[in-house]
Amino acid sequence: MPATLKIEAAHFTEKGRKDSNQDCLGARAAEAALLQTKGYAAVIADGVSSSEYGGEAAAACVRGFLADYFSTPETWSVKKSAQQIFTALNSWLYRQSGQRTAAHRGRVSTLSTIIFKSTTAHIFHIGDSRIYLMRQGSIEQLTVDHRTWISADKSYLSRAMGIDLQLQIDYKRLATEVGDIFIMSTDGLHDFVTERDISSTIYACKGDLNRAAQILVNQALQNDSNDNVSCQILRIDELPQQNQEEVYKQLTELPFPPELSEGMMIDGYKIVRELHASNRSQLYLALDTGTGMQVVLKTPSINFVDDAAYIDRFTMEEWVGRRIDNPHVLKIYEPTRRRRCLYHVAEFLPGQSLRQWMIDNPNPDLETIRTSVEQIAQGLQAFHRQDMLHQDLKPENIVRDQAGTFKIIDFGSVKVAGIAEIESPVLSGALLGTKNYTAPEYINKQAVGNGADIFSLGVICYEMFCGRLPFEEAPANWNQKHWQNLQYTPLTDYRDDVPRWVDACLKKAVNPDPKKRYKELSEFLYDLRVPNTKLLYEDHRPLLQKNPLRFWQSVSAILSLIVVALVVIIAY
Amino acid sequence: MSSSTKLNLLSFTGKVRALHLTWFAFFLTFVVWFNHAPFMAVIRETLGLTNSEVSAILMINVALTIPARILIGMMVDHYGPRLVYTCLMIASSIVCMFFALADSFLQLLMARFALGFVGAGFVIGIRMIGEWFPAKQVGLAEGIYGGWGNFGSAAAAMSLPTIALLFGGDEGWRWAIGLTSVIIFCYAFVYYALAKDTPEGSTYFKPNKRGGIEVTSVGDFWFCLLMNIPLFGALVVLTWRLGNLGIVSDSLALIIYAVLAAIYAYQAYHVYAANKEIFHTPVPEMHRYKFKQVAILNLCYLITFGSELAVISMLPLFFLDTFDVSPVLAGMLASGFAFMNLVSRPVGGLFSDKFGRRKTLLITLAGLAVGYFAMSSITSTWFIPLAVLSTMMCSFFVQAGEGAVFAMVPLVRRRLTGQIAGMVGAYGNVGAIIFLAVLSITTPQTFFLVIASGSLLCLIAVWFLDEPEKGMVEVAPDGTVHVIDVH
Repeated sequence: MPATLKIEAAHFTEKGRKDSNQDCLGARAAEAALLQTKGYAAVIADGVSSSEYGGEAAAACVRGFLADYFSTPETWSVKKSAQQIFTALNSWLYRQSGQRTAAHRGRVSTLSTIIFKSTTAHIFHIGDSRIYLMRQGSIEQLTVDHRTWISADKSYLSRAMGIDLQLQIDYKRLATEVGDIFIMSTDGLHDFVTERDISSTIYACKGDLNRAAQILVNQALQNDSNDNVSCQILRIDELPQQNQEEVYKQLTELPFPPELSEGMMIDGYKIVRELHASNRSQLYLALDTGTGMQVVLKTPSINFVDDAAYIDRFTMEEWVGRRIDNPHVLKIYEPTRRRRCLYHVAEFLPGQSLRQWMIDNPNPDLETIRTSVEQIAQGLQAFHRQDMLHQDLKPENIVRDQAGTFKIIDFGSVKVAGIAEIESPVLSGALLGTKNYTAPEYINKQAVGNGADIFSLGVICYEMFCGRLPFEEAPANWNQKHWQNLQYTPLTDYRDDVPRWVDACLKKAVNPDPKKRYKELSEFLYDLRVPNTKLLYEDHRPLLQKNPLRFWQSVSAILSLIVVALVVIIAY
Repeated sequence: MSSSTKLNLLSFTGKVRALHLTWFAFFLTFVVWFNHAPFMAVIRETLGLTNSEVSAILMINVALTIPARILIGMMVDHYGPRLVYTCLMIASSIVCMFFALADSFLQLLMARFALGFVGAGFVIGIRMIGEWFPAKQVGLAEGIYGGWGNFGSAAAAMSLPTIALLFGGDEGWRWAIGLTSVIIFCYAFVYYALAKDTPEGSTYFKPNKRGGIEVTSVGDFWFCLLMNIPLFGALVVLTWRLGNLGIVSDSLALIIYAVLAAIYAYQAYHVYAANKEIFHTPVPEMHRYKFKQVAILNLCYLITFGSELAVISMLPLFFLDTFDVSPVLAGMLASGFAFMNLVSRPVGGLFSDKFGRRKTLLITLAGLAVGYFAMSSITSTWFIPLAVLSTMMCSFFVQAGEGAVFAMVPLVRRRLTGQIAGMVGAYGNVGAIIFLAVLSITTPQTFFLVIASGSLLCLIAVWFLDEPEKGMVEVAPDGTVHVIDVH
């Protein structure tokens, strides 16, 4: 068995001199099946003592977070999951307090969270609770107190949950080690106990975290703490250190299927014929003898039988496909029988690829293109909502079925944020994408976001209009240099029936600079329907290029005027 | 979304088009690489060369190929096969024209030295075919590419003497060689216009590691470094030989040795860089492979392809000197050796699939040992058709052996196929240099004997080759796929 994440936790809280305890804390591990993707969460919150509902706010934060975090999609990154929950909690607290600005009447709380996933600790923090890390005997404060001092002994909370709709949370990532001890505390504790006390107490308790927590709280009380006193201690006992051999064993558990041909039976699928074969995989049309349904079997190419990165990506493709349910994305079927080799089963889509459709339908009208692009975009949005990037959208990866519905088919390059965070000993080959369709940020090694998929969709949309690419075709070794002197050819050069605002919208969608491109698909789709006057650039080209006809007409008119004038002068 | 399961060679679309364009490019590079062979006798006479100068020209023709393979491989990574092949063809056409116009031994030598670069064309096409063909067809496609391309040397031997005769005179050879230069120059542009690097819309993945070959144990690491030595050792031998012949001065030889040592160090560093993890973390059991397999295949290719390159360089001259026939006839007779390529190379691949890799290699090596022993005993008293028949018999085993070697290469370690194929291929050139160096010191008879005894030694090495494991999946007669549990 490979080692999994194991954390020992202890906490202790006392109301101290106050009437009620407005602190709240808790920790929870994900169920076994989700431990890898969701990990372990620990939360501490301190309801602001001056407000009436501080305790309620703190409890809502802790319970809400621990309940919601583990139900976020597995594909989401920790950051995205936490952000979504923080935003929801914050706006709920803010509305509950009736939008009163004064902190003392509202539901306001500090909130500090650690999420342990794979070998990383993700720390989210707002307010003046603290998180310390004790590693190899030395202690370090990981968070910064969001507190503003107005005099030497007087301060107030500058940032907290429920104060403002605009939420600013500190986020930090940290590589963890076995034996790390994280201490989470509220101000009732750390204002009255020094860092040295904390480390010496934990050291003295020799691993009994419960006792350490209790001693620390009591120490703070003895030092005249005037607030609720709480502390939570977590120690990492085991990290999910997957050894290479285990991972390879898992990956190669299922053998590659042999070369399949018509009539062969494999796990109850009868092969009808080969649909396509490339140097990376084969597609077969097959009959599911259990249901009588026609399906497509995708099998890995024997070229990669000992390439762990390829097998990892191949299995990932199925994992991704099964998590997306959208009419514009190819369906991958859940296996109903035990599989004895590596393949996956997808719905059979008789129809044509978008590439073929473009060849058969040159110069389609604006509305046809818009409805098609909207369908593809809906499929893409399904990926983006799950915090996934498709990364390899191209006309060959889009199919138009017999009913005229466009569907995205290949998930072999999809990047899943929530999975990318899990450390893996399998080295993945860097994606270079498909030339002409892959956004320049992949080549320039810039940060890649949803905009990268929008670029690809923009190029495809442009190509649907005129059968050409918006930029000069990339050379085989397309590289940074190629992207530096990229000239956008206005769509109106090829099609004069397309309004200029549509061209402007496409120009923005395929902008080589991701910062100047659309950030969200919805903006792009909106601008494709409604003229966006802001984008309508001034046409600075000389008249000769802009409108040659008008140029020559004007020249001729002036010349003929001169002729007339000369005739008149000579006549006199 | 459809593709034929069978390879339709009559079509000229998609991958088959890529195959046709590319094998013909390789064919032409082979024509140019060996267009001197049928004319060595004429050139010897017109320019008044000595026998040792002739053997120097033959040797130097294959010298640059080894380092060129490394360079070309890197260029293909960078610029794609289409552009690199085009440039190689244009460059070789210019050098070839230079050779056609040469009027001194030194000029001939320099032209042939530069033409060694053409021999590295093989690497480019292999990459191209790999991009276009699915796994189950790639073996056949590469067989066609290699076999039909190698046929170029036979085509040169058969046709060029006749063409030279048509132009007539002592200088006819210049016209014939010049013609090949013009043809390859024109074809370079045809290739550039018609070929494409990858199928429409294929996704690119950057390979995980490039450079040094990966090994999986510390012992194999040293073994690999050892096996890299002959790649440069062959060039050391060549330099030494040229020094003996007075072509390379002592000081130049020292410089060449230093450069070779530096390249070896660079190569060794890359092998280290690709493998430094194995010194502290052992590779998982299931991920290991034995470098011994690569080493044995290297030796087999050294004997088979190495001897083929050497023999097609010298055979026309050998027939001419032995039987006192016309140069045209000598060329025709000698072309019998490379002629078999069209069928024997694929047959070697087919046999090893059917009867087992190791067994096929053992049989072909034994066959070619017998063949070379037979060739070593050819004298002027032999009936000429019998002599030709024995060379053809010998070449059948030589090329079947080449096919069998390359049928086994992908089974050593799939992921490393490209790198292993590169190393094995380079050993073919090592063989050519060594055998031609032997020829330059001794008689053709001894030369054939050396190859024959070399193949007997290689036979012993093949005895230690492990037969690759069969897959864990079997198909029953009724079509049901059975997976054999090995857990």
